[in-house]
Amino acid sequence: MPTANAPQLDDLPLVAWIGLALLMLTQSVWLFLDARKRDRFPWLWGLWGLIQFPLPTLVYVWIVIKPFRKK
Amino acid sequence: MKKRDRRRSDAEPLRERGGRESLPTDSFDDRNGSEPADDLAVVASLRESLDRLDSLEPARVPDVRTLEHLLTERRRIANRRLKRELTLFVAVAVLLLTGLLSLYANVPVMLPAMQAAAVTLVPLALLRLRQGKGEK
Repeated sequence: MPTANAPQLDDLPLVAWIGLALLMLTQSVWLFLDARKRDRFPWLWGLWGLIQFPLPTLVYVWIVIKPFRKK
Repeated sequence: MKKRDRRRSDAEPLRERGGRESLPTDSFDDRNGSEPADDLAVVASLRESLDRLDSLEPARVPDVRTLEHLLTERRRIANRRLKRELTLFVAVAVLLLTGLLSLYANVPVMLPAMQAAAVTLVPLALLRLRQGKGEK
């Protein structure tokens, strides 16, 4: 049960919400474009990039970009 | 001349000139002693026939402008496709993001639930898709 002093999502100012949305959108568009270029499930990466930050980018770099550069 | 003998005699000049060792004719061991004059005649007649074939249709040099035009057209189509897909993706993303953020704001419990679901389900989906692609 949340205590009275614990920060709530409602307490976030509008600027923070907009910043978060822009961050996620930027990440997902970048993932989508790069995965499309490499033919690696662009929609999946793009949609995952909308849900979390920065795990999708880290995983993408680890399992798509790194092996691609080794080739 | 038997078929096997003919294949051997075709390979002989190549081998003398230090040709590749992996010719299919190399598998034949039986040396029946084909005559070099025979080989030369075959090579000469082959060359003559090939020259005649070449003279029937003159070699065409591809037009640079046509090639450039094809390239430009292809690039234009690819760009248009990219724009269309990106627009669709951004539209879907904005809708989804708006829905997700309003859901998190109204039902805060959904935030950890979505994060947990994403962490477990997306790698599974990726694994399955990669396996599917590997099977193709």
